Formats: sequence, structure tokens, C-alpha cells
Amino acid sequence: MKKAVDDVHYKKLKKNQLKKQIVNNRTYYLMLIPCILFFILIKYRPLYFLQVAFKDYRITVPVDKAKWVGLKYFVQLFTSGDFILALKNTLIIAFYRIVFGFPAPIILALLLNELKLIKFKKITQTLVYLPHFISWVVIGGILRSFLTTQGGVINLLIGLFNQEPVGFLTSSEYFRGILVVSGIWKEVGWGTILYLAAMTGINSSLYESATIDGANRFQQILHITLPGITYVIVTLLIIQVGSLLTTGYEQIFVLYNPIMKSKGLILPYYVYEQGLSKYRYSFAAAAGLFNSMIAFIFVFSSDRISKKLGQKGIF
Amino acid sequence: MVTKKLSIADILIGVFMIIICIIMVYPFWHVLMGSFMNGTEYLQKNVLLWVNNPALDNYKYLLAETDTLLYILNTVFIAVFGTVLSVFFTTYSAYALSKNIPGIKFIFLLVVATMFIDPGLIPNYINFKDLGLINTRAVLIIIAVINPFFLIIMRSNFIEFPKELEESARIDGAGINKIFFQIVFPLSTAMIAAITVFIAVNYWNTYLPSVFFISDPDKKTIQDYLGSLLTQEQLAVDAAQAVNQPLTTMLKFASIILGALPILVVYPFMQRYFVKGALIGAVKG
Repeated sequence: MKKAVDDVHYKKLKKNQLKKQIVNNRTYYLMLIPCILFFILIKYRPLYFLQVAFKDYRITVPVDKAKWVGLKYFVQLFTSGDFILALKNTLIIAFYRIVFGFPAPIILALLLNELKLIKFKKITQTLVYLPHFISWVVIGGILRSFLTTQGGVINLLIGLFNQEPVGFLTSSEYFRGILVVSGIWKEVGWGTILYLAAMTGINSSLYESATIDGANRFQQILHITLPGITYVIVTLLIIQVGSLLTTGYEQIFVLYNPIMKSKGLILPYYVYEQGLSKYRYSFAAAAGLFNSMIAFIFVFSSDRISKKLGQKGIF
Repeated sequence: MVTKKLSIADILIGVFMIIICIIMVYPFWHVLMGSFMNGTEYLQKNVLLWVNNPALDNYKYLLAETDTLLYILNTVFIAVFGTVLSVFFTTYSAYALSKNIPGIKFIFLLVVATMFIDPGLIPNYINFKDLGLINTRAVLIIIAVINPFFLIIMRSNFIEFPKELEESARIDGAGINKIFFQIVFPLSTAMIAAITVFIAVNYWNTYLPSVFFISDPDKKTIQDYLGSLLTQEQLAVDAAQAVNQPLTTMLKFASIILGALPILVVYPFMQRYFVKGALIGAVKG
């Protein structure tokens, strides 16, 4: 009996303490109001409108008044050839981006790390970071002027080898190659930063003793530098796989045109085209929801894998 | 000490790196030189290493005869106001988030979760429409006004801020806002400069939000305008082998340079902030 009273008393005391703490810190809570409002109104409120994927929504009628239609639009998605095509392309392009795009900065970082002239290394770093900050629209513009058959630099180079000019921009077969190569060009330098930071953390006595043991430079890279940055490689691989479907589609919006459809139509573009150009909001929302779900599966499974490997997860 | 003599391997790596540097820089250089040329000079040259008679005609034409200036001004407006608001709200909120007060963990979770939840384009569109933000310049500012990633970085930065400084100010009778504006903010300028650079670059490069949420041509951003200018025409040019192709090419060059100008100008001076932001973000994020 006494204990129960104590308990109630204790809880009351605790409650009063909490109240006092909140009142004392009220300024901090007031400071957070704009932030909380932003996240609720801009980031969480749209989730409520996901329901349009299950409704017959028209922009003129409020969402709440629209009629529920169940999975009608999801059935339509899977009977539409374009959706299947976009889904396939999205996954294939994501796969290419990881396979070719991921190792590139590692190789560049290893080479940068081998540069002995500090000044030269600094200048190189400054130059290779630059494209990261330039918008895809600008890069896309430059790329088009380089790839065109009318005096584009790339086709002039091809001409030097007495080859016919290649219609990079008028055929879909080069589209994915252009995506991968231009993506590497833009981001490879920036991608080296974390690897280089990890390399500076490697104990230099390891290299000294390896030199004494007669290991050449290539062996040192293979047995000291690479193992030294393995944890960064694994972490970045997981982060990049996780964000594959949510980042980087600005590039495709810039470079895509209807000629590229068979190789380049991806889900985010399909959602945009169906929703905002053809006003099929519910249909597009269903396609978008599907894309978000796959993206979430990517994040979730890469997080699981990272935990299996003993890394810190995100959930 | 190991001798500093360069081996053959060093020279090979050096040469390879020089080639990489050329590949990184030449495209910008090509477009920059081309933007100063007139049609005849452009036609005579294949590789644009230098321009003989640099002229600003292409820029003059773009600024006088097209709407380019309007789009630049739109984007400057968004970038300036957006950056000021974003830096303020990000640091101000991050400071409160860095305090160990009841419920703060939940609020922080609310913030972090948004990095993994993507409602998708259509729900976002309906939300902005519902809020009356479609077709306003405000939407382009609001959409990026608080970036959860920068918020997390700033929060970690403030958690490590020396408590004694805040404590002594409090003893002197300073309120929380005064402590933030007069002590914490001015003493965190290195980190704030780094996120400011990123925020400003992001606003200047605003492209897809303008494509998605702005239909009124007067309110679009320079990137959006360039996007339609550079993509739509190219098809027609390639297909029809247009007659005045050199002219349009050089105007395109000039517009490409305008689209990247603020970044190209600022980059050499701000480079250390760019790198610093990335490193700290990665280590703490």
C-alpha cells in the first residue's frame, strides 16, 4: 500500500519536473516551430495525398470528394506496356550506374594518392571537383554540343580515325552509355573526397615497412591502401545503392527525348509525363507510389546488409 | 627520408592525371571560348583553344533580344532570398535541436525520417496546389528552405559548441536568442559558410521544381529556361541541318556560360568551403 502511494507520488513529482523542464526551455520549443511546421506541411502532408493513387482524382475536385476505385490504376499500370518498360529501364540504368559509376572514384582516388607533387595534386583535385557543382542542364547543353553530328568535338575526333560520324543524339542505342559516361565525368572527382580522407588516415609506417620488405607500389596499393579504405568503400556502396532510385534523375530529364524512349524512359519521367503533361493524376500517383516503394526496398535492404556486415545502420 | 626522385610510374600517373584534368576542364573552356566568337571564326576552327577577336555580341544578343535576363533575375531572386532564409532557419532550428530537452529525440526522428520517405511527385504537386503555392516563386524557395541533411550537420556542430561560453553568457543575463545570435552564430561561421555555399549553389541550380511546379513562363528559373532551349531545338537542328547553325551554336554557348556563371566565378575562391562541407557532412552524417 505504502509503495503504491509512493509510486503515485513519484509519478506526480516526475510529471511536475517534466512540466518545469518544458516551461524552462520554452524558448527552444518556440525556436523549433518554423522547422516543425515546414516538415509537417511540406514533407508529411503530401503523404495524405497518396490516396489519390486509389481514387479517381481530378484536379478540379477536392481530394476528399474523389471516388475510391481500389486498385484500378495499379491494374492499369501492369497492363500498360510503357510502365513495364519504364520499370525495366529504371532498374537497368540503376544497375549500370552502380557497376560502372561506383569503382571510378576509387580508382581516381588511388591515383591521386600516388601523386607526389603536392601542388600538382591540389590543382588536379580542384579541377576534378568542379563539374559536381554545375547543373545537369548546363552539362547537358555542353554534352549535346559535343556529341552532335554537325561539328561536335567527339565526332571530329571520330573523324580523325576516318570513321563515319555517329548520331549519338538521334538514336536510342547510345543513350545509356552517354548517361553512364557523363555521370562518371560529373561526379568522379567529387566521389574521391571521402576515399582520400580515409587514405590520409592510413598509418605511414605501414608503407615504410612494406618498402623495406621490397613491396612495389602496386603491391602497396593492393595490400595497404585498399584494405585501409575498405570500410569507406562498403559504407558508400550501401549508401549509393540505397539512394539509387531517388537521386540522379535530373540527368535523365535533361538528356531524355522521345527518340530515347525504348532505352531511356524511366519511372520518374513517366510519372511526370503522365501526371503533369497528360493530367492523369491518379494513374501517375500509382506509378509514383510504386517507384517510392521500390526505392524504399533498396534503402531498407542496403541498411540490412550494412548491419549484417557490422556497419552502423540507419534505422 | 625517402628520395623525392620521380620514377617512370610517377610520370605515367602524372601524364594520366593531366589528361584527366584536360577532360574535366576542356568542355567548359570550349564553350567559354566559343561564346566569344563570331560565326566565321567558329566555322574555321574545330578545337576552340583560343579566340582571336573576343566579342560580347552573343551575350549582348541574349540579354537584349531574348528573355534570358528575366530568368536570370528570377533565379537571383530565388537564390538570394532562399539562401538567407535557408541559412537562418537551418541554423536556428539546428541550435534548438542540439539541446537535450524533453521530446527533442522525437522531433529529430521526424526530421531524419523525411530523408527516407518520398511521397512522390503527384502528392507533392497536390499538396503545393492545396497550399496555393503552385506557380509562385515562393514554392521554389520553400521546397529547399530546410534541407534535413544540412540540419543534421549543423546540429552536430552545435552539440560540440563549448558549453562554457553559453553558460557564462547566461550568467551575464543573456537570453537564448541573444546567446544564439551574438555568440553561437558568429563563432560557427566556418561551418555556416560551408553550408551557405552549398545552399546557394542548390538554389542557383534549381531545375526540376521549376519544371514541375511553375507553368507561368515569367516565373521560371534560368536552368528551366536553358533546359527547354537546349533540348527542344537540338532535335530540330540535327534533323533539319539548320542553315544558321553556327549562330545558334554560339548563342547556346553563351547561354550555357550564363547558366553556370556564378558558380564558375565563385568556385576558385570558395573551393575550401566546398570540400570542407562535404567532409564534415560525411563524417558526421
